[in-house]
Formats: sequence, structure tokens, C-alpha cells
Amino acid sequence: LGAQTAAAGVLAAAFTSSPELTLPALGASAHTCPLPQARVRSDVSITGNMPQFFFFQKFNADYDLSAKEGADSLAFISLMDEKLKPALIYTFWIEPKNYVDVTRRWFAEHLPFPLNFFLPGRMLADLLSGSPTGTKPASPLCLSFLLQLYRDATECLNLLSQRLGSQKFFFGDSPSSLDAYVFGHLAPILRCKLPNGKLQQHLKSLDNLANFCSNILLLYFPRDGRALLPVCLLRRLQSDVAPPAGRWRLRQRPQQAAKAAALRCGGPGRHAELRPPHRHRVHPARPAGGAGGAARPGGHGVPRRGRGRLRTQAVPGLEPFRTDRV
Amino acid sequence: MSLAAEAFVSQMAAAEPWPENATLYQPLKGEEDQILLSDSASSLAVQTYLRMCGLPVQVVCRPNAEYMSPSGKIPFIHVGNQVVSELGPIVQFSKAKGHSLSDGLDDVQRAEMKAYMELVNNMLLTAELFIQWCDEATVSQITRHRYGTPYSWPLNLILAYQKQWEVRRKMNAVGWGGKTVDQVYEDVSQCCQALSQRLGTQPYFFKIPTELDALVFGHLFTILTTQLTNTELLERVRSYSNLLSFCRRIEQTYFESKDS
Repeated sequence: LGAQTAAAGVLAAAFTSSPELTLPALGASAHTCPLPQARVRSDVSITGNMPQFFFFQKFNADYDLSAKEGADSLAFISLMDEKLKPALIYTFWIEPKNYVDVTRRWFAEHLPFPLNFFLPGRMLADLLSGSPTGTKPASPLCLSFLLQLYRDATECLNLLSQRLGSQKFFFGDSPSSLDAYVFGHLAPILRCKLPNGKLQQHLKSLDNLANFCSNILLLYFPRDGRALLPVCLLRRLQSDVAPPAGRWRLRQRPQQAAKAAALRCGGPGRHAELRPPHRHRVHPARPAGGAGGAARPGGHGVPRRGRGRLRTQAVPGLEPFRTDRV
Repeated sequence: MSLAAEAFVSQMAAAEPWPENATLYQPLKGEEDQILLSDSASSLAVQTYLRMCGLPVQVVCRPNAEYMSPSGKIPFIHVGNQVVSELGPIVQFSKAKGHSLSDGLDDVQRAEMKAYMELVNNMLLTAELFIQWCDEATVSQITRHRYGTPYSWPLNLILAYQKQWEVRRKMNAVGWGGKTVDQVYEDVSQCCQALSQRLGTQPYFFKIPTELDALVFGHLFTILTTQLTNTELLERVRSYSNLLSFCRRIEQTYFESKDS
């Protein structure tokens, strides 16, 4: 559950034009509606398949991928579903110490009374009835089954690490939905303080994956509500959109904004290489409000609608991260 | 199996060379057709892989092959005094004996190969299972009849229903329970598109034939040559010409030369 929420959160954080995106993933309806849920603009709420929702709104993180890379995304998502997800479900929900100390306690602390007494148990039951681990022939707690589970998960992590290599994201310099998916699954393992952390140790030993997660965390889930750089990552499907008039004037703002933001972040220091990639979104006839994004010289200006910052309030799936100040 | 036992088994496997009398077991095929689409696909994939490695194996048909298999899945091979089922463990087993197809690949390619094998298993195999057990038309006309062929009434019906419930449970577990047949066909198209894009104009998925080629061939060839209630699945796969020529090429290289 946390993995899906985090993945959706990354994708959502990438759409900087969406104002006031809140992710109320919990609540009385949480166990009846498919998670994750998001409320955009306080009157539109999305449940379930978020990437599809964003796709229909003409936001596509995979716009720049070649056909082969798109196929690779699909393949790696299948790999993670098959090998890593059962291990994640086991680690967070079925493993007794983890469930009691971390998962159930965290949900209980954040749910309103009196739901906190029975909702985590209900979530566990739902998960078990629908979980792939429930269909394995051996009983879930038998040792050989656990060994196989961890072996599959570590193999999957190794394969992801080999595929990532020394690149910043899986397909070059800009993130795609595969990056969101991988981050969503890896970040909970990496950041949650689990009593029984075998998977966490293995993941920490894979440096490039750990760096990948920290990069994305710093870029898209900033501390203290300060955006690192207000940039737009995605390009609207350009077929029917004309470039805005008054482009020249708009171009100044993004650069100013970029400079201001860079100063805010302490100059080209530690985070210089973490600047989000230069993608821009073309928007017809928008007033140049707020700060724009880092525009490519000669590219289109990137006006922002309404507020100049992205606010992600109270992202429940990521609360454990904030307690672990690394 | 614990780690120590596994190490012991692989040591034993490595000790002996591949014997001449290795056998591969699958359900009945031929006059009394018991074998289903998904089992046939997996079995063909394993046979192709073993032919690619140059390992001799005899194919034996038994009605209770599914129950003999250690994991309940078809096919399984009986080599020496060991029994191994499913393509993944068979690949590892043959690697322990010193026969491997994917040694020449670098790390990134091996990661991609494993990922694509999971894609095929996740999408194509699940789609095949769905179509043959969860689509009412196919179940009532083809599957139930075929599955219970070697048994007499009422056992054939009981076994067929039992298997159907088991597969339905599995579909619910992986989230395919609520899908319609058209959505499943869409998923198959998507998977074939991904495979087609990955294959491009190359003869094989990587420079040399690997287990991924065997797996893809097994599934696609079976889909192309099996008659179902409608030709929707067939048409979808057939629309990718490079996959068609890929199947033809592997069939000519590994199957026709042996028969002639």
C-alpha cells in the first residue's frame, strides 16, 4: 500500500501545475476504496489507477521514451510485481515483529478513533486474501518459503541495480514511470526503521539504488515544504498545443526563478547535480504567474498556474521517512 | 529447500553429466488430447530450451503428469535421480551441469532477459490461464472436456471444477479476477507489442539464442497453432510480423532439422 502511494506521490509531485495536491490515503473509506487516493483541487478525487488518470489529463512521464525503453519499463514492472512485491507484503504485514511494531502502530497512530482499533487488522485480512503469498502451496511461515521469498527479492534488487548501473534514472537523465514505480517499492524498505531488516541491509549494500532513492526523495519530496526548483517535468502532448504569445518575456522569468531557487538551495553546491531535468510543459495563453521552471535556452517559457510552489501536505505513506533524518 | 540442501543438490547435479535417458513429462497429447494451451506452451518452451542447449530429452505423455510434478506445474524433467519442474529451475539445473545459454550476456542484458521472462510469465501465461479457465465459452466447450479426458465420469467433472476454482482463486490473487476477456486480449496485445519492439529486426532477442527466446517461442507458437473458440487471440498475435518470422525461424532451426 505504501509503495503504491509513494509511487503515485512521485508522479504527482512531478506535475507541478497541480495546485494543492493532498494525499488523504487513509480514512474510513480507505478500506473500501482502492488505494491510493488523491484529492486534486478539493473537488476531484482520484482513486485506484492514478497513472491512468494523469494520462487522461494529458500528462505523460513516458513521452520521451523510445519504443524499446517503453517495453523495458513494462518488463521491469512485471519483474518487480512478481519478485519484489510478495517480499514487501511479507516484510510489512506478515512478519510478526514488523507488523506489530511498525505497520500496525503507524496506522493506529494516524487513524482517527475508533477506527484505529480494527482497521489495520482489516487491511491485513484484505491483503492476505488477495495476496500472491496466500496462493503459494507451502504455509507462509515455513522456512524454505521465506528463504525463497528473500532470494527472489534480493535477486530482483540485484537485477534492478545492474540495469540502473551508474545512471541517474533508469532511462537517461529524466525520470519516467518506471522510476516512480521502483522508487515507490524501494523507498519504504530503505527508510522505514524495521526491527527485522534483512531486505533493508541488502538494499543498503546496493549503492546505486540507495543513491537513486535519495535523489528522488530530495528532488520531489522536499523537507519543510520548500521546493528545490519549481520545474515542470512533463511535456503536454504537443500535437494540438500552440506555443504561447509573448514568449520572450516569459523566458526571462524562468531563468530568474532558477537563479533565485539555486541561491535558496545554497548555490551550486551539494544539490547542483540534483537539479531536475530540463523538461518543460507548453501551455497556451497562460498568464506568467509565479515562478517558472528552468527553461532550456530557446525553449518555451513555462508559466505556472496559481501558486508557484507545489505543496504536498501530509503524505501519509512517507511519514516514516521524516522521522529518520538522514 | 534449505540453503545447505540446495548446495548439496547442485553439487550432485554438477557431478554427473547429462544422461541419455532424460525424460520430460507432460499431459496427454495426440489421440487423447488432455494437454491445455498454457501447459503446452510451457512444455514447448522447455523442449526448445533443451534443444538449444543440445541436450537430448524424451517426451513422455502421462495423464497424471501434473500430480507427479514436484511443484504441481507442467512440464517437469526426470534426469538421473532428480526431478525438476518449470523453466526457471530447469535452466538453473542445466547451468549446474555446465550447459548455459546466457553466459555470454553482460549484467544489464541478463537483467533485461530476466525481466522479459517475468513479463511473459506475468502477462502471457496468466492470460492463457484466464482464457482457458475463466472465459465461460472456452471453459464449457474446450477446457473442461479436455482436462478430464483420461478419467471417467464423475471424476472428470470433479477434477475440472476443482482446477477451475483453483485458477479463479489465483486470478483474484493477482488482480485479474475482475477483468473481462477483452481486457485480457488488450493485455496480450500490449505484451506482444513490448516483445515485438524489443525484438526489432534482430534474429533473436540478444545476440545469441537464450532461454528468453525459448520461452517466447513456446508461448507464441502454441497460441498460433491452437484452435480456440474464436480467433481473437490468434489475430492479435499474428498482427506482429517480426514475432511471426521469429517463430518460424526457431521452428526451422530447431525442430524441422531434427525431424528431417
